[in-house]
Amino acid sequence: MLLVFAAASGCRRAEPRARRVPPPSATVTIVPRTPSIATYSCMERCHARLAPNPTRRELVGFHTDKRLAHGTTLTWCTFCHQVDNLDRLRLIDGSQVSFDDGHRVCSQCHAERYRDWTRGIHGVTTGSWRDVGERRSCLACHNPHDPHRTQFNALPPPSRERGREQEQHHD
Amino acid sequence: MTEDHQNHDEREAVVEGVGKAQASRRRFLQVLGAATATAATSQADAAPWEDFFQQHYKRLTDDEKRQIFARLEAQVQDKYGVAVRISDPKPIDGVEFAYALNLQACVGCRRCEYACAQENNTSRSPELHYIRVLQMDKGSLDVERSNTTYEGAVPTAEHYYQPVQCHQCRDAPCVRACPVNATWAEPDGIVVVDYNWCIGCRYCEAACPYFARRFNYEEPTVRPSEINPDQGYLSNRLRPRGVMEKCTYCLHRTRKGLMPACLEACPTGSRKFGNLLDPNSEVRQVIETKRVYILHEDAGTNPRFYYYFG
Repeated sequence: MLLVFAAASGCRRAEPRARRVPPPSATVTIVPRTPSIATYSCMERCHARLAPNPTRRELVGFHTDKRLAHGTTLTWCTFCHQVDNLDRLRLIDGSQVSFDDGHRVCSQCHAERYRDWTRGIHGVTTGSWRDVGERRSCLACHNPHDPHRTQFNALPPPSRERGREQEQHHD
Repeated sequence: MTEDHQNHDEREAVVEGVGKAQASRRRFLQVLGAATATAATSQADAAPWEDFFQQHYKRLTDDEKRQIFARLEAQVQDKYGVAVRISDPKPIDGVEFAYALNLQACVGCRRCEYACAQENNTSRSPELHYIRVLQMDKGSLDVERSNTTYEGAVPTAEHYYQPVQCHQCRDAPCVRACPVNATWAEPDGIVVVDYNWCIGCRYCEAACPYFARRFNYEEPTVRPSEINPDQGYLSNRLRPRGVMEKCTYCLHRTRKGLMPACLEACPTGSRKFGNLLDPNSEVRQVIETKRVYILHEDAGTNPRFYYYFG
């Protein structure tokens, strides 16, 4: 009896934390992230041939465009990337998830945003409101290394609005 | 027979008389029209007559609708050389459409405006957009002091952005203002316009507290290459000069289960669309869990468009 209980609790501990938040409803599919990563798969391309090096250092030669400016705790790659298998992301409890499940890494800190995302309040859902819609993962819009909002140019106002403004100035 | 009954019968007789007179007048004009049409050499010449005598959308039979759609398609083919398909998807039972817009997420990039124009075949010159994005001062809800002509990099630190389009009100002032019933609310909540019945008086435009209705002062111009061939009779078919038009939540898309064009174009995910009667829909989740703000709530129009924070 005791053994069964221990086994059960052991199972529960092995379960990743993010699972406790219900996954998005069945009426959406989450758009896979890996096809849009230019350098995927990281292992096949390079890292299988490189020895894992967890030490903090200045990156030279490669990944020099990555500026890490995400909070005060995320100060090194291995916080989110699995050091010995760079095709996988790492959760705080040590379990590994695919890049397609990157939202589960985010959910560890941004629990409220994640809850909103599972309900469709936050984030982009396109395709269909009735059948199966397509929902973008966090990483489709947010750069996890430097998540600060950037500005971009608005499309020009329609000529009609410009005319209206001139009218107002004439008044 | 009581006096009341007598009056009633008299009234009915009068109504019947008027109906008969109208019917005979219509028959006369129809005969005249048919005669002219026969005299004319091409079918295109007969079209103005058929346009003129076309009945109100709600009185059309399915057969008549098919004929009308075919005629309109032929007119577009004649004028623009583009093959379009005019459809008339019906409201879906148990569906009431609603829109929710995240004011904290919108960056005011106007992608929705242009996607809407493209989808709905609105005039490119003069430029006519259903959506108007207001650049609002942070900390203020005063739309009167908003700016609609901002340009350049967005979002700025001092502003937030509030796109405004037709709110598909439950108690729509535009519908009440229309003297000829050319605009009405469909069972799924979408307020539509019969462009062939509209007389262009613009009373509805004046009645709308959201400035959401647009009038074709000039012949709308759309390049043939830019015409969206998937058209709905009550939504994005090409409009003539002198009629009102407005956002219809892209009913030719949404009644087939798709999302509106503005939502598909939004890069920030601030637009949420769905069935208000479905408790699991995104809009219902927004309304139930977020702080929701209704623009001009004091106007009492009870819109199906909600702004929310977060």
